[in-house]
Amino acid sequence: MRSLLIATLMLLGGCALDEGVEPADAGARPDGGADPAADAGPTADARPPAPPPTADCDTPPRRVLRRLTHAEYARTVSDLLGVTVDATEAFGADPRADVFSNDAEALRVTTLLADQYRTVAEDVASQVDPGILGTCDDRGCAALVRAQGRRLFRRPLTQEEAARYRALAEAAQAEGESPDDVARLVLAALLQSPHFLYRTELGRRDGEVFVLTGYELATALAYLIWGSAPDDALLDAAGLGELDDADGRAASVERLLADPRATAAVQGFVRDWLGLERLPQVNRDPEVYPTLTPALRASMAEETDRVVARLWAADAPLAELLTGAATEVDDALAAHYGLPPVGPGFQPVERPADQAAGVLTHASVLTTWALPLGSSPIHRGLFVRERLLCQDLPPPPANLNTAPPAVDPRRSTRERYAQHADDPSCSGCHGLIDPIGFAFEHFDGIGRYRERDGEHAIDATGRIVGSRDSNGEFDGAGALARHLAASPEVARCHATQWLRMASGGVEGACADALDGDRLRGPLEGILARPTFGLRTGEPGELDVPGDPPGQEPEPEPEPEPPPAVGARLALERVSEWATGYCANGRVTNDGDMRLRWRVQADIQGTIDNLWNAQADADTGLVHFIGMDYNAELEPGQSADFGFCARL
Amino acid sequence: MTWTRRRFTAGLGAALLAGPFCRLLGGTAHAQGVAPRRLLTFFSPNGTIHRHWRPTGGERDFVLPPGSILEPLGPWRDRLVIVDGLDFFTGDNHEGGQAAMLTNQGGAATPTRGMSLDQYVASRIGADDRFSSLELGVLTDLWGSGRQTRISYRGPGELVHPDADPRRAFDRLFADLAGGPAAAARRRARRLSVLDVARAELADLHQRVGQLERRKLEAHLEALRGVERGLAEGGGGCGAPTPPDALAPGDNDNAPAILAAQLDLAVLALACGMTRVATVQLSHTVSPLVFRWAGNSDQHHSLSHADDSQVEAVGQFVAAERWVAGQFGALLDRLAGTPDPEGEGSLLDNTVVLWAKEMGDSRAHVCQSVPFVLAGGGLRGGRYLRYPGESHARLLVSICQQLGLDNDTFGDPTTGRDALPGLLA
Repeated sequence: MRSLLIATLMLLGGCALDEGVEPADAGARPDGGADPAADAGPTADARPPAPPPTADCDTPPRRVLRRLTHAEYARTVSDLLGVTVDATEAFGADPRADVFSNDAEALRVTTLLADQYRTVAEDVASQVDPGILGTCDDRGCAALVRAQGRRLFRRPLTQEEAARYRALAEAAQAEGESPDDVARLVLAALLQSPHFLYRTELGRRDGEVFVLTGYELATALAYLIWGSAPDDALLDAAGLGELDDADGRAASVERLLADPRATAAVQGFVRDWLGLERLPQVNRDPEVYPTLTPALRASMAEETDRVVARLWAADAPLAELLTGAATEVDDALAAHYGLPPVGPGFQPVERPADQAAGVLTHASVLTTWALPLGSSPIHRGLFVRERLLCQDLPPPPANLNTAPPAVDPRRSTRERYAQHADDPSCSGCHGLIDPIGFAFEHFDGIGRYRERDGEHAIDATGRIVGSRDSNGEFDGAGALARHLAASPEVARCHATQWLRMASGGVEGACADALDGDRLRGPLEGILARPTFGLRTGEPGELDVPGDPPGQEPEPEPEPEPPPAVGARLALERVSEWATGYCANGRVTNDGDMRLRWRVQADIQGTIDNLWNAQADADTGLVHFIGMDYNAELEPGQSADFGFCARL
Repeated sequence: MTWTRRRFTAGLGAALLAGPFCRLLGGTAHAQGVAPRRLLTFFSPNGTIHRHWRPTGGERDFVLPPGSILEPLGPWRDRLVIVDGLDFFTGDNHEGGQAAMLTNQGGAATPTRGMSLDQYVASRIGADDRFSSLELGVLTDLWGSGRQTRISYRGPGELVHPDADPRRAFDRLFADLAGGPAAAARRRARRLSVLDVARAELADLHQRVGQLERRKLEAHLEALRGVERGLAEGGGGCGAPTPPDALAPGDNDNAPAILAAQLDLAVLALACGMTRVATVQLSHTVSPLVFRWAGNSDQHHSLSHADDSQVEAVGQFVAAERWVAGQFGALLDRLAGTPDPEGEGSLLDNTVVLWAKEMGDSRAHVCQSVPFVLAGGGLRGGRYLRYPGESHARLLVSICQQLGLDNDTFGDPTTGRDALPGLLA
């Protein structure tokens, strides 16, 4: 539909500047990643045929495999294993379809990436705290496989799967690898498993749809709300069936939303939405903008992060994000904005009314959407058109002279661009773009307020035409922001961006059903959909007679464990004499999941008195477990026991 | 804890420099008497300005005019085959041109199966090598990966990503050799057994999903085969490599050093018998790079569109392109200075080197008269060949045939057949 529209527009020689034109509908441009002002041909997508678009919001999305994005991988490893991976350094770039980099179809594993997965897995395994990982001793590796497998696969392993990892461990053990090295090998293997690398929310067939299992729901919730894996509590809730009913799921959702990881994920969403992933590298001429240091860029990004966190916590209206004067700056940014110093760190400030248009006048956004030598009405107009109105514009057709207006101190930026768009073959599109961007002309190429553009007075009047319901005129960024904040089209686009982010590109558009007027509205709406836990099959998948794929009963999970991974024993002799000694043992839960502890120690002599624990032997290799009252340890918690032994 | 590049600092340097690592290097010895065949593709973006690019004169007596883009290749004039006039029939404009450049947009059912030139050649002559192909990038990740930023395809729509970090790429090639042969063999055995587990689990998943999703798993399985080959031991001969400096791979001003490091790595990988197909990609179409080191102040894409009235901007663009030509010449220097480990002569003698661009006239951003420069690989140099209006499909066929392959079309078979007349003479 959209490509048809674009094709039609191209035949008209660019964009029809017709006030009644139906805007391009929501949906990522199919070319995957695009410069905002790219003049590239809208050619047919080369990807496999897409499934038919879902007709309405009641149709569940198709069941797909979603490879973790590199950012999700890094957060997952950090949350589960406590090891920091720099996703960019480790992997390079993920596919990016205009706004988000989570297109399930484009997220593939190539040889290069598989090599990188191996390298990173081995590095992570070599760095993980043994207290978190556990070990593979001569009693085998079963406990570690079971515990780490459940966390990394986000479900209990099947018996067959667990056996594979145990066999891997046993082979290494038989060749004389140390217990810790065997444990690291198992972890590295788990991290290279498709069950770790892909979100496999496939569901179990129930009539015409597939119903996600509790564990799959946990994964869907955690990656949507946190951008990371379920924690142990969420997996426990899944295992107990709590996510299968509305109340239980609501309780977990509430807990997830209250966690700091939810804020971090929302910040990530807004950064992607506003295009800020390019901010650290976007090119500026160092002679024109000598103050734009990497540190200042980082402060710009943090300003936006902080405002997003604050507004998210307050469940603020979208309008506040787009128009608010309240922000937070550090001294570097204060100087950048011409504000007085604020003291240590970031502090709340109000920006002057004529400079305050929420994130639209954040230096982060204005710097990202500009050019090396100055502001860019084209980039900023495209930003509004594509990111805030969700209208994709075709790139300039081939053969059109797209020479950009050269920097010329004798003319204002606006004059240069206005002349550039005089040509009727240009004005079709640029009439849709540049007049929006002109509203930002009081802000230079790094977002500083300016009264004059060089020696020229600034005309910041602008207009939107050719939109669904955002047409209008305005003078300056603040007026533009208020205009946008009042437009249902912008709220709808806000919801659309959430849908794109949430769905990995497989969900039909039904943004109208979501409340885009509140920052939390779209996410809440997506979570509350009746179809959240449902999937459809591929075209034809349900027509297969007999057992269609996915209908097999879930493989038997491993029997529940005696959890012990993460328990660390410190033994200390507190008294000694010629024929005996007494010792205190302290067991500490070094992991990040609740556990029933079980530790072992090589005991000299024969235990003849034991308290606060039970033992399975009285000499040699002895396993201790807790009593009813101290067997369970929360993360970080300790239990003490003691014994005396005869020598 | 922070994940660091330990591999580099620990073990590797000393072990490699002192150790007999050549025995560990991948690569299969090829039959005696058969000339080795290799392909090295170099890409730079945003078309050209023909007036500043074209040689003057005829096929054999051509001149690279002073001040022109190709002038820095003067020392190599007699090894070059400069190909002018070719059109892309299957793509136009920035992205369309880049997508068609090495693929000619064949479908999966065409003889070259929708692959790009490098991937197709790799599938034909690189299947036994440690790396069937090697893709290296320079500032190729700033905008994420997608059709706008990639040039290699393993099938229609299936992108192959270059590694934009020379140190990471170096690790991939050389880090596993640390610790001596016994340790390497043991590590290799472990890694292979881990791959077996992953394969078994991919097979499990394969059972559970429909046809569309199976493609992802099949691509993953193929990727693991590539990983397995990469773990292989084998013969080969070359000198001890020096790891490249740490360079922030996204920093505009690091581009010259990154390009130099990636060209070094590509040559090294060829010289060590690790691969016979390498691609080095400088940025991508619509490149936002600012070639400050060449006196540029605006981004390459903006400059590429400057019309002749913008004298200063055109001058900057030409300066950037001249710098790129110099880098291509430096690549030829490296190849010519490296003896072929498997055959007679230098690496250049047995490597077809291609400098490709995605468009012709940058100002019109169209794919007519797209400029190509070839060298090495047994091609008779010192020629300036013009094929006005001819399909670039035939250039891709010519390169395949020079490498001993038998395909007579490349990509869309309706756009041209057989090698370009006279090119392989």
